[in-house]
Amino acid sequence: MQYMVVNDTEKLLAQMRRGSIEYCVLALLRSGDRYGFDITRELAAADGLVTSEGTVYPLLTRLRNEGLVRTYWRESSEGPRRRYYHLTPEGEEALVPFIEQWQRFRNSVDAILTKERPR
Amino acid sequence: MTDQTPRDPVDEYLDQLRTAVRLAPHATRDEYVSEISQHIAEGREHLDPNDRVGLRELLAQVGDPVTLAHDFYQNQGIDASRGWRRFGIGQRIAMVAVPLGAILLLGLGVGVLAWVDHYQPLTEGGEGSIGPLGPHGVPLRPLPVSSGAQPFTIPVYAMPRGTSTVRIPVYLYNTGGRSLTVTNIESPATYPHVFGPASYAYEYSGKGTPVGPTTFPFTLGGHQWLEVVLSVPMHCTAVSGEYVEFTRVRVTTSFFGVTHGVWLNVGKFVIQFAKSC
Repeated sequence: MQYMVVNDTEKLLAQMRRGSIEYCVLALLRSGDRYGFDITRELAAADGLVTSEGTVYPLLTRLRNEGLVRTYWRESSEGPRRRYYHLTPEGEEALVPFIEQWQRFRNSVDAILTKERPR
Repeated sequence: MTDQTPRDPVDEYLDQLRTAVRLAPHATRDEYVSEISQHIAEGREHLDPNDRVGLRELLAQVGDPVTLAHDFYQNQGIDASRGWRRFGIGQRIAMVAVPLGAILLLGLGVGVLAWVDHYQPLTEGGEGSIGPLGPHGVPLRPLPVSSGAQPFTIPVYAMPRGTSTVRIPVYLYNTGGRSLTVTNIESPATYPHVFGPASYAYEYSGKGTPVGPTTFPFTLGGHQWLEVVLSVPMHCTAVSGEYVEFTRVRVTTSFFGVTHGVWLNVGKFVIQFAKSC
């Protein structure tokens, strides 16, 4: 029974992540260009956002294919050259409505979740 | 002796990942594996080179290859279901029906080719012989068997001096329903210095008079018969006194461009050359 609960939690988190994680990536890139390892580590550090770091790369590829980010290579003093991701104007535009809608959505959900039961 | 050196866990991990994403297009999956490889290399830089536990944790953080592949396929819009589940009903039917149809067509083709290759519906008709014509075109009468020239019950003709024409009737009957092309009927004689080629055929009128000539090739319709009279020039030579027995001729036909040869019996007869040419 305990396994079932854990499994359901995973599913729940996966569903919640699905629609939001790409916007989290775009939001991270607002503060500056980042390379893949950097992005995944930051997302992984946020609780529940990434379960497997490897799943971020296909997402980054999709964002690049959709023109929301662009990439370039930069030499690294610490090792092999790195592929950096840069937020494009289209990516910034895509982020604006998400931020607005997310806040409304979160407020609505919070309001319902915190509503007291009638006695 | 086998090499007992353990493989690098990263190499092993990347191999597993490559296998798991093998259904994706080459370029996409190579890029993905390369990114994961670089990610691991970045993570390794923060580890002690001998920290195997740390490396295992790093790989665990990257994710199980099968899980990553599943996520990768979803992002790429690839249906990575295994086996039949990958295909719709229509596709499944097509996958069975197309090769089956191809095999049937191939078998049919081979069958038709084999049939064409072996199609030979010619059969010989009833026996008969006309015998040789003399130098003036007069048919020679068979020698009486009692003459003792040949101990056979078949006609024996005396070949006169000079050049004559041996007429050999060949009854052709096409037992098949399709038309045949008769391309040649060879001379039954194998003495080239005595007999010329049977280069002409005559349709026989039924009264001993040729109504020809008919040149090769000619068509013989399905279920039809034809009596063709071969005309073979014959020269009396120094083989005087010898006998030649005619028993069969080789008829060549063509069916859909495939040539067939068949030996047909003719009415047996013997030619006895004149004692002095």
